[in-house]
Amino acid sequence: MKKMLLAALTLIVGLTVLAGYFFRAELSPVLTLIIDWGILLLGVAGLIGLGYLVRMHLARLFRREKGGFYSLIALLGFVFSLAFGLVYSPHHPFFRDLILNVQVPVEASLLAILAVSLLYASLRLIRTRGWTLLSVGFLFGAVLSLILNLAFFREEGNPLLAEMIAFLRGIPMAGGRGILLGMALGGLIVGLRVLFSINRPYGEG
Amino acid sequence: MTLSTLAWGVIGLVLTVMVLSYLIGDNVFFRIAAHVFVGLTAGYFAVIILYQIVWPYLISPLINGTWGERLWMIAPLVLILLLVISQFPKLIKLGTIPLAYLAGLTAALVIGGAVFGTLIPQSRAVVEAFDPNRLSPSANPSWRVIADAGVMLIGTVATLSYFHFGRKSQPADDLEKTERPKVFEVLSKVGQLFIGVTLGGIFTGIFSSAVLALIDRLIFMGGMISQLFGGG
Repeated sequence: MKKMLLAALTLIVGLTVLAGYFFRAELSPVLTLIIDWGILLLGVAGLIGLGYLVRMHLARLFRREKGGFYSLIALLGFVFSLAFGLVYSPHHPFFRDLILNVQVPVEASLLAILAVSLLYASLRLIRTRGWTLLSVGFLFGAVLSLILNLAFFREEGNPLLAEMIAFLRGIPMAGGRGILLGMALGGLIVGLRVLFSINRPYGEG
Repeated sequence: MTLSTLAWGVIGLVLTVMVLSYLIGDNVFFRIAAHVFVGLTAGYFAVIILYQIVWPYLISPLINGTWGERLWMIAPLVLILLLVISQFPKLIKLGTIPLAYLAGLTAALVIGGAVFGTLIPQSRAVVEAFDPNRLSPSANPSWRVIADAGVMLIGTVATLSYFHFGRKSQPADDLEKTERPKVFEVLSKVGQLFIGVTLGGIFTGIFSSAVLALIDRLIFMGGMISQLFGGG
């Protein structure tokens, strides 16, 4: 019985939102309500997730497990930014500076490390995967995009070269379109399976 | 340069050096920087969720709303309550109700996004490349317009064929039981090539961004060090 109720809840919410694509004006108030409740639930789920993160670090700290010192640092950072944000609001200049001068340098530096990791991984590609159609295509695509992005060729006054470059730039789009269509078809099928409760990601009830 | 700007710059410099130290191997400085980042970001997300979701969507309507609006908040309050108390192991099953609600909402948004955001526009783009108005002799199409349309069609069909894993419903022999039909085998080989080229292009884009970030960090470090020790 409970399974049926859960399936009905999923179906009603899903079909109402889908109907909203066709009858937007008529269903607008209901859609706003459903989506607002969804946003609220996701927000609370996010807070619960953060709660688990804090609990995990607290447990590591109090059980004196390996890495407890790092957990202490993470917890201090969490309490500091939470308390400051709650007391002064996220629009306070200090809070903005804190985010800009801690998050941005760390994120940019992590991205910088990615450059080295990607270069190393690409060099290992042929050694680990061998000469397959995929790896040949990958190398061709990477080298082609690098050359074209370097603006090495001067297109001005040479319409044939300009046409050629435009054509070469479009080649990666062909596979990309196929991948996008494949992902959309996959999403559509998974969505329909969830909607009709063939798959139940929320559990068995 | 004010004292506050200098202090923030030094913090940024120290964190940058700590994170980049990972290039010589995993070490204590990288881990400290990573945990500072995780802690501050987690706190920041909590503040943003509270200020931009919980306050305007829940607390504000309860405090400032009309009686009708307050009544409408009963349903999300119940769902939130169920979600929260389902974190206790004995009451875990109560969490299926808010999760079923979220599953229905997400599934519908995914279906809508897939159909109206990707399937229709992308299929249309492939078809429109063969628009008679563009390809007719009177339109004087360049070789590129024709080649673009052909490559786009072959690339799209071949890439989709690569992800086709179907088998014949009534196989004639054991080979047909395990292998795809010949036409899909051939098309999937072409598809592999196109997928490789696309991934190569994406790789270059990400690599370029990462190199730019590396250059940005090196310039930032150089600038800060010259300001600190060279007098600006």
